[in-house]
Amino acid sequence: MTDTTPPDVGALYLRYRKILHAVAFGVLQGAGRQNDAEDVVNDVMLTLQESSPKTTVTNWEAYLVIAVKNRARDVLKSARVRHAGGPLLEHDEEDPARDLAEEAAERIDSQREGALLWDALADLDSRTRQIVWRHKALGESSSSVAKDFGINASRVRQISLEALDVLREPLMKKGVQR
Amino acid sequence: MNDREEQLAELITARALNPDLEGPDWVTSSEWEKIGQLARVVRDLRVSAQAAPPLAQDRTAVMLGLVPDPHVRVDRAALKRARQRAGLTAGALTALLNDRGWEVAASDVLRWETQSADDLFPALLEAIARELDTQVGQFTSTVEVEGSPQEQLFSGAAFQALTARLAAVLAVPVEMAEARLRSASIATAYRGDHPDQQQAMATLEAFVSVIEFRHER
Repeated sequence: MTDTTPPDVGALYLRYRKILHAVAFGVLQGAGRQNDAEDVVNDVMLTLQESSPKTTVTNWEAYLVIAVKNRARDVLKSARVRHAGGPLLEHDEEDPARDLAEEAAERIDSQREGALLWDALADLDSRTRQIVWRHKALGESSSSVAKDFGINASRVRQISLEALDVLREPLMKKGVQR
Repeated sequence: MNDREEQLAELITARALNPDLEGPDWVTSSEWEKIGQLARVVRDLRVSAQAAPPLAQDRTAVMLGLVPDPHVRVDRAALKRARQRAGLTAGALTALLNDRGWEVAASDVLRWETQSADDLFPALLEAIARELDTQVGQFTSTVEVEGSPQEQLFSGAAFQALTARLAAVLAVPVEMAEARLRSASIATAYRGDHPDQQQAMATLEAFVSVIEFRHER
């Protein structure tokens, strides 16, 4: 794909659907909402089909991963508001007390282990994420992954290990016991 | 990575697959604790990697036209003629499809023209047609299975009306919209549902309505 030619949405989905479903699943699982994962992914892809992003996208993998992560968080946020019995406010500044409660609740939710891991995964640079995803999550051999990135197999294993260490960090900071 | 680091990395995978694995003597307790934490991350990644449904049952894949329609047959000779009329080599067509994001090789293009094109799905057929500056119908035909409940559904006026609506909202030719609706119907059957015609039409109506609603938002 070139920078100036927008890819077909179907092509993007075929290429990245596994990680997109995984991100949605991972973020929502912590709140017991993993059954909403397919809807989240569906929503993001159909939105993309209906209208292109306003700015030029140079890295579609990163764009889609972050879009799915954010949409999954929106689902958690709206569920929390509905559970509290309040309407969805358009402008939070109308109710500062609700702002603080929302922020605290969001922090608590974001501290759930599943969301932490997927936050960290989404924050990795795209190359590292793709390498650790293919090698560790999908179980592809390091030599197979190495070919696509122009590096050797040992470097794939090293990058994967470093990425796992990064992904482990938020869990350690929050004192998550495994 | 040195040898020890490589061995520790292998232990992470081993422990991810077997959480009850005991640490070997040459690993310190703090290393083993860290390996356990990393192994859990790997397990979480692997579990989540299974979250995507099989392609044929993936609602998003169906909506995007990524599931082959068994009722559509590719005329391999016609496809080749269309490519040649467009003045493209198999390699050139491959490059154009790659530019659109499709992971195809020149060998795939040649296979579609000479051996088998059963793996082609509506969205890729559309991309090929666009690059060849032609219509999908110029190198495909629809296989009718007379009498089957699905064919009765597809030949009905209600189905044709839904096809027209979907074509309008997606701004695609009617034949492409029809292929997507056929795939949606087939995907329902793959999930183990076997609705009667009325239920099937209601499902397809809902499918099109959701897309229309989203388009209007």
